[in-house]
Amino acid sequence: MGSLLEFEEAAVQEAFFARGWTDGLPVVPPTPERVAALLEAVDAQEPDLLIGYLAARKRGVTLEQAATNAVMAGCLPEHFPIVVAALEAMFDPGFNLHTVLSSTGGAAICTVVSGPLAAEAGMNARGNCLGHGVRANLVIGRALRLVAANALASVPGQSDASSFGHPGKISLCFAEDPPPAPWQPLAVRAGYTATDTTVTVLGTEGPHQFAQQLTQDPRAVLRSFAASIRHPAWFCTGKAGGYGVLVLGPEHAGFCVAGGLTQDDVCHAIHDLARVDASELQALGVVLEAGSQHDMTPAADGKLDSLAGPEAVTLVTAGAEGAGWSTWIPGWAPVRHSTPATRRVRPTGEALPDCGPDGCLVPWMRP
Amino acid sequence: MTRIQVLRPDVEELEAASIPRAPRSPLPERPVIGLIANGKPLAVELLTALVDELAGRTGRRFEVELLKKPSAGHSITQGEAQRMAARCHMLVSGLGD
Repeated sequence: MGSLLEFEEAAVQEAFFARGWTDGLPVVPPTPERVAALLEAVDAQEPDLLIGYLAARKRGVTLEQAATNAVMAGCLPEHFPIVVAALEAMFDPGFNLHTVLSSTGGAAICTVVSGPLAAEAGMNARGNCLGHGVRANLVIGRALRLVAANALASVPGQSDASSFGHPGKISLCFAEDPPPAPWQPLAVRAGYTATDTTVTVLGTEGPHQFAQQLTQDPRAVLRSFAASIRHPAWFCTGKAGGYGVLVLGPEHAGFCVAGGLTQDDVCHAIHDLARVDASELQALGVVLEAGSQHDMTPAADGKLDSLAGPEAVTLVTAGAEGAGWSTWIPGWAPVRHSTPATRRVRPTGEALPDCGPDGCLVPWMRP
Repeated sequence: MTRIQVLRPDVEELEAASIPRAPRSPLPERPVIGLIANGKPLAVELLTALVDELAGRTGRRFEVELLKKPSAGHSITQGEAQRMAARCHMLVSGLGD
């Protein structure tokens, strides 16, 4: 067990604030009993087991550290398997966690949960799913940030160099609302089964709400969205490496399905329509990079890609009916710095594979 | 007053092991300066200007070994680090925005 401290109960909050262990909000005191309840939810036989290790910081995250910070965030046991899967995804080498946590661009750890365990954990995929009001969404996302701060020393002004940051850095986590048929859930499109639950993490800016309320033409909807995605001040515009989460609200998803568009069609259309004229960017004062990490040499048609490809659009459905809203959550930097990562949630009670003394490739970690 | 026990959420800092500096040896006539450019715009220009400034201040001429990272978000590889360490007498590796 990790270090135990003893406080007067009434003094715990201020003691945690004074030590810099919170995100600026009060926390739930991580008593051994509360931490043990979370560890039980993932059948943790070895609380010291490392979920991942960040060589650049010479620090790792154990199950117990994760549970301690998850308790502080307000997590209940049913939330913790999702937290663990999200942390596993964050340690995917492609996600490049060290950079996500340290960039001046100030990235959130945007967390999208797809599959039946999201509802079982009480997550919100519908009205105000990116806002306040539902515990599961907020505390799962908050747990990831507290782990980053306390276990991985991601502290603003020190190893977190965010120039601004944004509110999503406290928590940005939501569930996918199962898409209208014949569209498939994100987990299935990632290669898992319909009974699996997956967690996808992305380093992102804050959400940007899109309105399209006077047309039912899906092509018109997507054209206007793509034009908003490729705005000249997005760091990825014209750099052929952008990615992001396109969260289609019920109306817009319905228009696409009614118009015969598949999810791949939508992603291809967004990718193609987010290409931008190099001359348009220059006219708006953007200097095209050359000879550095983001090559902005225009293609033969004079255009630059903004997105890394159709697959760089993480397409999900969520939100509630209204006037016709969707949301784009832009990646904070091109994919050469970080790519989204997905892991399956291991449900409580599911046995771990017998890997013997040397470990093994766990088949359900990646489809 | 009720006292409660809580688990510490952070990692206690271990005292870093003391590592002696490598022995200082006289520089050759034309020392090699290694530059690690992080891939951001004008990084190479800035680092090269630094070498020019150093040359002006010391009255020496330098050989330059330039390594350009493909992404500011990734470290150089161990092999690259070893090659730079073997070839260079000094390295400029830090570059911010």
